Amino acid sequence: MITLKDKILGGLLGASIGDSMGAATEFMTIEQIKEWFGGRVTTFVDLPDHIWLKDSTKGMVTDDFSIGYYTAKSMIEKNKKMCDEVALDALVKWSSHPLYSQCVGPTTKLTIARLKGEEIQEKKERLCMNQRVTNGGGMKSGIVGLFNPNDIDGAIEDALTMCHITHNNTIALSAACAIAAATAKAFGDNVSYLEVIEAGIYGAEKGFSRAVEIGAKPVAGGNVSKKIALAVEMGMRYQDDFEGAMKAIAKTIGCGLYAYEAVPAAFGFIAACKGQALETIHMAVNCGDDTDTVACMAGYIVGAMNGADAFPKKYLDLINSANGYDLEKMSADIETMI
Amino acid sequence: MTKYDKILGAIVGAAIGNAMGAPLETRPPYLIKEELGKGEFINDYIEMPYDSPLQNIPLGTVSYDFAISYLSMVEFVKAGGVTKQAAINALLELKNNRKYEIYSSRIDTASAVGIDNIEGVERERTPYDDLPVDNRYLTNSASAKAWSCGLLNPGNMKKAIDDAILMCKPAHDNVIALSGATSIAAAISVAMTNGATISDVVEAGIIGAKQGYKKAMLVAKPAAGASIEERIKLAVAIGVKYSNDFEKCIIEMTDLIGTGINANETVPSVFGFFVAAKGDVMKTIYLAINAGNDSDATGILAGALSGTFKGINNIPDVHLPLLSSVNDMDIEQLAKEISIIVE
Repeated sequence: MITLKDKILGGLLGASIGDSMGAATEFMTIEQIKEWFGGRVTTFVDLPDHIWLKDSTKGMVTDDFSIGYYTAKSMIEKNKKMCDEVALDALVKWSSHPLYSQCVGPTTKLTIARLKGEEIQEKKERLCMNQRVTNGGGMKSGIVGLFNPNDIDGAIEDALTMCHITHNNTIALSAACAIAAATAKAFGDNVSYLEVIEAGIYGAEKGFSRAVEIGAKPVAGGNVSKKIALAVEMGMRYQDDFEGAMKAIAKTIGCGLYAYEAVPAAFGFIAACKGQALETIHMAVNCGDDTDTVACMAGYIVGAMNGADAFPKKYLDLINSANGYDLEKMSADIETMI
Repeated sequence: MTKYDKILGAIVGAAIGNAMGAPLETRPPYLIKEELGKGEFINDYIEMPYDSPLQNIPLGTVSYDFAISYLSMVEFVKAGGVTKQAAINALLELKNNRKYEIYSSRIDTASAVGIDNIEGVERERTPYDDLPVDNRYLTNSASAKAWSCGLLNPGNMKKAIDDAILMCKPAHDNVIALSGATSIAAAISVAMTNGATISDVVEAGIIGAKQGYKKAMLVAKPAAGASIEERIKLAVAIGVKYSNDFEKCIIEMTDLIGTGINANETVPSVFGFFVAAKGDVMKTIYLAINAGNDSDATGILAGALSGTFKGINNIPDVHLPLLSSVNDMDIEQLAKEISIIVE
């Protein structure tokens, strides 16, 4: 049996490894990635010159994992469950970090400026701001899954609290809840990837209706739960065909910035790889477009499901040293809190 | 059916879809039905909603997508066919002629960047400009004008594809936006031929997306994003499945394919709606506009495709005079001039 602490550490590792490996492949197409790196990327590689993260080295994470990390840190330091105060504190501290501030997305940037009391030219907005239906909620919500082992509804509520300050629209929140719910479910004894996926679909549906209840803004865009189901169907069809699964999902579901692409794609890859940790992450790293985010989100889920032993020990050392983290200590601290 | 009937059908259909779709833009289907339609879906021109930047404009006013299509076709007529220079002239005319201020004030980012490039205006560079790939501007505003390349190349899919790339590359220099443009151009080129069936049109759209992508890879910037070709296949399956259920068709299409600003959502959905409506012009348009999100772009493509397929006689008489006078555009004259070129 995998211990609770091992599952927490597995989640942290899966997400950070996915984010870090994916940082090198982000934006490019499947074909470009192959050409650039001379084949599939299955380990930590140097960032290509066109990636503008200054002073980034092999093993460093980007905005995706770091915001989750800062949130966990705030919760631990304040010894508080997820609440507005924690979420805001983490957001402000994270955004002043010289590395991560380079990759803060537009939606988050605006929120932070508002929080800091900076003067913002408020434009008259449409009722539905569909360009804000991004995966910025999903990329950080896996962390609250780690604080709610086996408590799917608790993870959904925490994801809403964490993400509504930056991504206050129904679809982005639905997507964030899918990742949080699946991560929480991944803590079950003998849990399989199929139940974890089912929890993700439940999270997307429940998250959507809860988002409406808490007053999230309406938006037009894809349906996260239906698209997860479709992505999973495609993943199952191509099990044991890595290339076929990756391409089919990337071509039809998409792996882009929209929450209704990146999040369903992550579940499709989990299905295609039967929940195996490294293989799922590798598929996400090579799928093209928003690779680091897809890999980070999938990483939380498969990492928690399989535990820390699914990853080589040297990966933990590299992530810790490259980022100045102590993920083992963080796992112990999270375990103490729950 | 004469070519003139098809060309006029396409232009009028495009204008209807665009003008009816504009007030519905940004909203999801359920809000269109509940909030704008008071419980019913929309099947007419309506006032702009309170949150639109455009207020108090006459019913039937078209948006940027139709205006640039119209001006491009005027330039193509002058040039005797599709040329890059004619396409550029149309972009500049729309931007710089004060008469078209209502459209140029709402121009999409991709086209605005394209026009700046043409005029040599320096934009502030961002790190995205140095990537070997461009995923920012996969937008449908290329497709939303490229249908004209189908009208100008009846039955000649290959030329329609080449012309769509020629026309759209200045403002949409990426393979996915161009693949959407070539898909619709190819489908309309086939819809221009008498005897073409619905499946002929759809298959041309799939071939157009595929070949356009390949050709664009040789001249334009790569882009990572979902495939228009693959999504058309899924959208058509949805259209077939829900052809007898208006609301379910819209919901399933927006849930799984989408009708947002990216070409890989709008273009596939339009083929799905076209199939669900069996090519009927007003039905295709109603499906497309009530799907919401980028409804004026979905609307223009739905109207252009079904209008070409069914011709002007499938469109109620009231629209042509209304749209011509409200928008001060001589649509009939334009259709005549295009038909002279292609006959």
